[in-house]
Amino acid sequence: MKEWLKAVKLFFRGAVSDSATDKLEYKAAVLNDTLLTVVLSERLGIPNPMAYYTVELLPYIGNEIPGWERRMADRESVISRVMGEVGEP
Amino acid sequence: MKLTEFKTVFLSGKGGVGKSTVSSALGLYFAEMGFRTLVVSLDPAHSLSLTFDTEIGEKPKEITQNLFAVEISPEKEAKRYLNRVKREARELLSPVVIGEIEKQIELAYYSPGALELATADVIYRVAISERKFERVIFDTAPSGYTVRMLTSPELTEEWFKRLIALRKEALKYKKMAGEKVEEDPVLRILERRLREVRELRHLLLSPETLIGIVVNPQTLPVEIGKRTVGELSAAGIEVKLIVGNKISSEEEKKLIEREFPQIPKIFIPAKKEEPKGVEKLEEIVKHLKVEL
Repeated sequence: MKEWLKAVKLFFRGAVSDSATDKLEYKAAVLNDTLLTVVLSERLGIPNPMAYYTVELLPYIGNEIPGWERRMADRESVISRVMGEVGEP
Repeated sequence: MKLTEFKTVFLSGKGGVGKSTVSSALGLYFAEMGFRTLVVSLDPAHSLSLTFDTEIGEKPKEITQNLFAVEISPEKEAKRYLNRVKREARELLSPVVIGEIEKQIELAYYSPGALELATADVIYRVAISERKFERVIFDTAPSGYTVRMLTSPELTEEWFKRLIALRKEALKYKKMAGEKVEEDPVLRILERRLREVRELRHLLLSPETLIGIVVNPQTLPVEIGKRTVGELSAAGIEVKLIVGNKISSEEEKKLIEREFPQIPKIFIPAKKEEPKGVEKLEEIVKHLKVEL
């Protein structure tokens, strides 16, 4: 019985903390997507006056782009959300 | 104030008014006063080789004692930079994305403002980060566009600051989620750009920096000069000197006096032939030894 209770306790702790980790990871991903949207704005048809400077980031964020593109396709208003967080350059 | 008290000089003006000639003479003057001086041409139509009457390239060349000259092409600078980014991309990125990324990097060369920002990068390197001279003279001033980019904090600094904040927050959450977060190259690049933009703004606004405009006593050079004064002052930058070049009469002098009230002026008389080489430039130097 004691063993069983311990297992139940562990299960709940795992469930709770895992979902907390997920939330944190999700939050990080959303913030990072916003950054990617600003850097890759030209792909959405928004001119980027800093394009000459921001291409320098591409080698370090390039691998995240396919995922970003997939997530962007799912969203309703990517642009307005990004503008809300970052503002126009 | 003497001209020699300015540590960095930018000369603007319409093509053909004599920016390179005046820059070269100013360089000669600074060098004669004992300052280790570099004259930099960023003009696509490099003319320092003509004014100093000797071949000048991408490496500073000694002209006389204390005086060096160099011709740098912002186009080449931009290509070198983009090639480096491409190389890094090839090293780090998966074959799935590399094709499109390479295309995007190549296109950045044609993006609006690319050459202006490349020019700003050259100025940063020569006048700030790799500065090896007590006096640096540019025969070109940053365009109105560049100046606006560099001097309005809302445009550039704020933009970089917000991107930095965004990246930092994302990394913070990643860390909280238990991921190992190492030194982040994205953050490093963004922070470096922010620092550069700030330092360039300080350079342009510094009391030790002289931004001057060279004009001739004709309508077009004067009008373009006036427009530049307007653009720069709108960006909070004061034009501290007007050089009236190729002046052949009192009327012409008065015309320039009238068109640029309140800005200190220097006048250089018209020469029969274009000054070529150090000896001929000496004749101009004597007109530069004035108090502003």
